[in-house]
This record gives sequence, C-alpha cells and structure tokens, in this order.
Amino acid sequence: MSDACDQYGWAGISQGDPDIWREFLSRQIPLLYGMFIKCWTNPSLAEELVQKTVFDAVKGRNSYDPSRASPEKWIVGIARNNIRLEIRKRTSQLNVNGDIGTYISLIDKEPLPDKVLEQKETISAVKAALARLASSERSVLKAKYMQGLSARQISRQIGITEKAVYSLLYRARISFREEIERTFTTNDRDRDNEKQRK
Amino acid sequence: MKNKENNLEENISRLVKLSDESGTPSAGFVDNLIHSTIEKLKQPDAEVTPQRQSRFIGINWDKIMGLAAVITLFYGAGLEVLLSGLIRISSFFTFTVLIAMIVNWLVYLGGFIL
Repeated sequence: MSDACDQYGWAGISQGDPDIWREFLSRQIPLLYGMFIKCWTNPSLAEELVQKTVFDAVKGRNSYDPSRASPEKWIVGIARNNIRLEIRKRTSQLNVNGDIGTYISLIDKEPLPDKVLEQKETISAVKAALARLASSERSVLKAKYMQGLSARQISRQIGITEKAVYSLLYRARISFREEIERTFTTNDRDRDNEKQRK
Repeated sequence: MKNKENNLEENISRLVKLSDESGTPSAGFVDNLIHSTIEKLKQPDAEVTPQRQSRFIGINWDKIMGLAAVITLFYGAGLEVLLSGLIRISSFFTFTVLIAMIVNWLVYLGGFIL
C-alpha cells in the first residue's frame, strides 16, 4: 500500500473511507482474481467470486481488527472461505454427462453449468468459433464481453454510432452462436465416423 | 422471449470470456466493481450490517399454542376412550385421573413453551 494507506489505511478500512477502499481494491482485485482463476479456469466465475469477496468484506468491515492482520491478509482470508464454499457447492452439483453439444444447443434456454464452461473441449470450441467470425464481429464481442466496454465506449473506439454498435453486437451474437453450434456438430460427426471406422 | 435473449447474452458473455488467457480482470470489471463498492460504502451502517435479531422474534406463538391444544385434545379423547372401557373403575375415579393427566400435560407443555 502507499504511504497514505500505510498510515491511515488500516483504520480507514473499518471506517469505510472511500479513498482508502478505492486504493485498496485497485490493488486487491487483480490478486483475488488471480487466486480464483488458478482454482477454476472460468473467468466469469472468477469475477463472480471476486465480487462476492469484496462485498463480503464491505459487509464485515466493522468486524475487521487491525491488530490481528493486515487488510490484505484479511481479504485473502475471506477469499479462501469463498473458495471453500464454492468447492462444497460443487460437490453437490451433477457432473457433466453426455456431450457438451447438448448443453450448447440449449444456450438460449438455461444458463450453462460452470463445469461445461471449464471443459477443454468448450474452450477450444470457443476459440475456433471466434476465429471464424468476421473481424468486426470478433472485435465487438471481445470489446463488450472481455474488456467490459459499454456500447458508447465501443462506438468511440471503432468510430461508428452507438446504434450501429448494438446492431453489430446483435449480428455478432447470432454468428457466434451458429459457429459454436457448428463446431460441436462437426465434432460429433467426426466422432461418429471414427466409431464406424473402428 | 426476453428471458431467452437474456440467457443467450449471459451465456455468450461467459463463453467469450473463456478465450481470455491474460489471467487478469478487465479494466471495465475492476472499475465497475470499485464504483459499486464505493456506493455500498456510502450506505448507512444499519443497511450494511444486519442487526442481530432477538431469538424470540421468529417464534410463531399462535402455531405453538394451537399445536399444544390439538395434542392435549387428542390425548384427552384417547384417554377417555381407554378409561371408559374400564367399567370397573368408578366414574369419579375416572374423572379425577383424566383431569389430573390433562393438567399434568398442560403444565408440562406450558413449561416447555415458556
């Protein structure tokens, strides 16, 4: 932490000082994200757990005791607890049975299970589908979902109107869906052909 | 229809993020999270930290008393049927035993509840 934070930070954390928290979080969020992504190769889950950890810390800030640990150790303790909770939650979840293509075909009907997202097959299919998209569609999807930019920010970046960004995003989503479904259909066909050959 | 679109958008967002190999959160995510945390910090303490509730607040007294009354009635009725069979015992003795048992039960249940 900076000098200002070293001097006032520990008390500022429990007092909810916005400036101290801003500086504290800008340092801690990437570290917490790294912790979660090491456990599960699932960026959306990592983001969800980082958010939960930060909100848990805000909620419990009154119970933070500077004499027991530094704020960094304290928030890492909360993160570890959330990892334990996630592991416990996962033991009660069903394993991914059958082919991933079935889950992908229901992409607009229900949320994809985390275990599906973490399969190597899914990750490679996503990369393949993105690679087959038109470059404008690929870059708008990445800007929106990977960089977390708003339509206005994207419009400034690409140099088109905000309305055009929305329509490009709409088309990009449809194309991405078609491509990823095609990837799994092709994979299934290849698998069937291989079985017949054997 | 809207739900379908939401599911599709949410799932596509989660899938596209899988192609990110940087191992770091996006700047947009960090900024949004810091912003919403600061907003949360500005809320009054009472909203942030829930007060510990009294252990008696959640008890549904009507339900407990109703249950106790039903148990007592069934117990009394059962006992009456049993005792009416014992014709050798005088009606006065039957009545006394019945009352004593009901009073005992009420005292027991009263002590348990309170």
